[in-house]
Amino acid sequence: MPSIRRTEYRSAQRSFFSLPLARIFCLILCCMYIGVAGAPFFSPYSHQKKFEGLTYHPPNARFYSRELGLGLQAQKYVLVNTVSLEWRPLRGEYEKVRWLARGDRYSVLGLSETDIHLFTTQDYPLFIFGADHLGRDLLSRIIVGGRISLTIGLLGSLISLSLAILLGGLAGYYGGTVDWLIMRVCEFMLLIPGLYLLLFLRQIFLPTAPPGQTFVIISLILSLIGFPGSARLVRGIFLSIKEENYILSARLDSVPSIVIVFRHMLPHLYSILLISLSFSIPAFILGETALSYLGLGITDPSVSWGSLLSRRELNLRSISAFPWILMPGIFIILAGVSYNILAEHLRDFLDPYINPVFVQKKATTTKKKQSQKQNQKPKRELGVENTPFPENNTEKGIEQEEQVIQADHIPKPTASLYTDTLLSVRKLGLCFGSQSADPALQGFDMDIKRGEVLGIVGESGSGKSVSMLGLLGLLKYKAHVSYESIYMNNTPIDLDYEKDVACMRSHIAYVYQEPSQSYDPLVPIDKHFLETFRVQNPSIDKDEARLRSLEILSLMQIDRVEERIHSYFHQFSGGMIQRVQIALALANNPDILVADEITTALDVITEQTIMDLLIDICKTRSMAMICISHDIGLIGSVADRIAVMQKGRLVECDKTSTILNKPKAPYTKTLLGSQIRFGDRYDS
Amino acid sequence: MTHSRSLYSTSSHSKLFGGNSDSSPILQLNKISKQYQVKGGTFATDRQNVVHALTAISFDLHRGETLGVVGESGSGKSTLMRIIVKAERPTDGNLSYYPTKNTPLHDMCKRKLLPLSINDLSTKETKLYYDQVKIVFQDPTRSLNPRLTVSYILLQSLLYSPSFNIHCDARSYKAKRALALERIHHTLAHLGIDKAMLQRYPTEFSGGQRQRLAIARALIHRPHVLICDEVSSSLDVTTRANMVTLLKELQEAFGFSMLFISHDISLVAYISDTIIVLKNGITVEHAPYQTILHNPKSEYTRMLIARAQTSK
Repeated sequence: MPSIRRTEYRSAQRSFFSLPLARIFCLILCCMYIGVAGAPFFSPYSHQKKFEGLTYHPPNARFYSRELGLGLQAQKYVLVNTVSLEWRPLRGEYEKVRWLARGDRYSVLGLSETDIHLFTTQDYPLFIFGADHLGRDLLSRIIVGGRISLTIGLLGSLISLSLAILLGGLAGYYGGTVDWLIMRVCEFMLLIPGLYLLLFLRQIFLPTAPPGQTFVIISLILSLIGFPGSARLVRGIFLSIKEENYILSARLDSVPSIVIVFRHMLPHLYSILLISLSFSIPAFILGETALSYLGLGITDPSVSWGSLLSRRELNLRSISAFPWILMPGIFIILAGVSYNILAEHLRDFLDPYINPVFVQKKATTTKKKQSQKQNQKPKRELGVENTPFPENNTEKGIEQEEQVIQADHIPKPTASLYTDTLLSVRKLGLCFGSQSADPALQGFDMDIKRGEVLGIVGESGSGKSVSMLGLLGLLKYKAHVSYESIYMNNTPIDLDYEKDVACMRSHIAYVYQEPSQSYDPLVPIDKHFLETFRVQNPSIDKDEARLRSLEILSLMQIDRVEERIHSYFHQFSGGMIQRVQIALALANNPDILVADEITTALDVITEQTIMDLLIDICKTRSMAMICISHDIGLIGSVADRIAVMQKGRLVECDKTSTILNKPKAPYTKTLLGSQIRFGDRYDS
Repeated sequence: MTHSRSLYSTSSHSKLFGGNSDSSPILQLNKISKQYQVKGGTFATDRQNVVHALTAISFDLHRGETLGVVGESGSGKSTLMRIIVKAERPTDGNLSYYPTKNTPLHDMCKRKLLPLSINDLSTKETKLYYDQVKIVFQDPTRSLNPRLTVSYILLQSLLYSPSFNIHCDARSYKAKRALALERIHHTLAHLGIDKAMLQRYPTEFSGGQRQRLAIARALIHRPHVLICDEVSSSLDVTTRANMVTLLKELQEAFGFSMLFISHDISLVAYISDTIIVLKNGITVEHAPYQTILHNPKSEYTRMLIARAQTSK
């Protein structure tokens, strides 16, 4: 039965603004900055305007009244208790809000004066968020105060970031004494509790400065406190980039250090800096709030969100009686949360390392329904667009396939010849991204039986690794997988069923190329073995696991196993790690071992011993092995059959001797021809 | 300056090596050793551990010659390369350079005794030396900055080069830029890369193209010595053969001496005139290619050859 698999992998979101949460909070931040930029226009009254006798006037905005009907209007209040400042609404007394009307005068960028407000009232004030202790409109003060609070965050983090880039960059690029000095200073700054440092620095820098200067001074102080963390981050990245060959090349090209730092190294930091910027802005806003709360920050006549929450006006009595004076706090929280969520999403979006591998279950099941529906339709619509899918009948399908790519010498199906076939795959196709993209794999057929070594040869991008990874669902990226049939031990496998996939995976072990990156460096080898055994047998105890792992490790010809089993992976050489890796793969007695370029990172002599060992084990355990490599010479020396792949297609698949001596496909001929054998000489 | 000649560098010997090398050496390594101090962790028992990356390496690189260096990982190939380009100082030994006549370096050092000892060069002379000895690295993805366009990388590399600035002789920036572009286009034509592709970023090129760009980056300086560190090992098999042939063709066109470093003995034997086999930082064998091909003396070389023959 032909079925189709379109597994949706949760990949890193490619479109940042498609995230609803990011979109909402971005919008909130935009609104805040727009509001703050046009503060005098958006605020109904001047933030300094005191309404006589309206101390702690409660919020009085109404949207409907019998007298004025629908529309924003101000309810009039009357003071009933002058001691506890208790207000009561006056029944039937409303003041209409006028939109785009004249009110208090203000200057536009210091150039011209105007008195147009978005909305204002004539006689009785509209207090949307209530009034403060001097009878000033809190909304107007919040809007105007946001100017300082929001810009202090931006300015402070920009200054601190520049400091961090400069000092961290110097430390990272030059190293040695410079690095030592700068890092010790940073550590000293980090050592002192932030608030004490804040107060200390505030005392040093002009404690009685005029309000205009305090703004700059506070942002300077905040950035001095904020830079060490980012400086360490920048230094770390610089240290690693410095080792890259292109930096060495630039240095050898006599490019001045300053150009290397700013033009060659800094661009690698952009995404990280952007993230760290959006994380640090809320911290700066909070820093300003803390200072102003203590009366050391912004003072009258300037306003900021912090100074609105100054401790002089904020006490338990006033908060319980007039809760609306906490309103600026809500704005601080909102700005902080928006920035944090923005930063979080930016990180997910920009960080290449956050790349979830696991399948989203919901997506898979819905796709499955679709595919079942599609199965009843003509087969052409299935799967990869470029691949016309043939009829259910295998024989007929192969004929059609041959017509399509006759020139590529697709082999006749060999499945029927093997009765003891372990794994049989028909017409595996795979494509990344959108369906219209070039498929990474097309019409891949494979059969393997016990004790057989199948070699898959191809250049990079030929789909040799992708074929096996796609089959086992181990691909990192979103991919559409389609197939005609997959049989494991003569039972059909449906890749949409988790159980089937898990069953297939338990029979197939995969060994990767990079020896040092395959395992957790913090877990010793015996723990790795224990975990592996527990997959099959959860009740296995430590001693038994130890015995079994010793047995397998000595099979891989690792000497002094007893001592070494407690070692960590970094204590082994590349060849040894690869042996341990193979031993781990063998731990659960797989039927098929996939060796994906396992010797590429190794020396030629180690390569030979490991390959010999592997082949030996495969033959004695009558296991099948799939050996993937770019090196046709290596594959030729170990495999029984060779499959040659090019650009996602199977070019040729035949016995090793046939491929090496009488290749049919022109591509195989070029591949063999371009091998430089020992003894060849360049001839001009 | 006293200068003891290395074991293998009698001039009569080098003539025997054949190829297109002429007899005068350009680079001379005399008993170069490099040790690294490996510091143990805070709780490690042995605090100081010395790793001998290179031990008493001596050889001559002759003008126009291709010298092949074979070694497995950890044999000290890369350290050797870094010492030659002065990215690292040797712990012991002397590295001498014979500047070609009528080059800025030669003019500057007229008063000095030849050959120049690399470690005694002044900052200015070092920069001129950098222009004459260039490296092509193993991994093409890491040898070009992915965040800069290729044209920016190549232009900047040339415009900051002191030799090129002397060559331009205080012309205006515009004229210098035009000259640099002309030279870049000329070099790229040799490498078969279309100059229209220059505005792209390195990631938009294939591995083979990127490696050719890395070679171009070295060749625009018209170096006298080109060090190729495993240039072909990260490439596909079909591209690999082309790359090696290309290097030989370029050598004929530009006339540089080449130090070809690789782990693959068949590849080294394919293009080198003289071959050095390194093992754990020690010269195991140093012989003309004919000897390596037909009559290798050391056991280790024979082992490498045997492996190369079984797999192919």
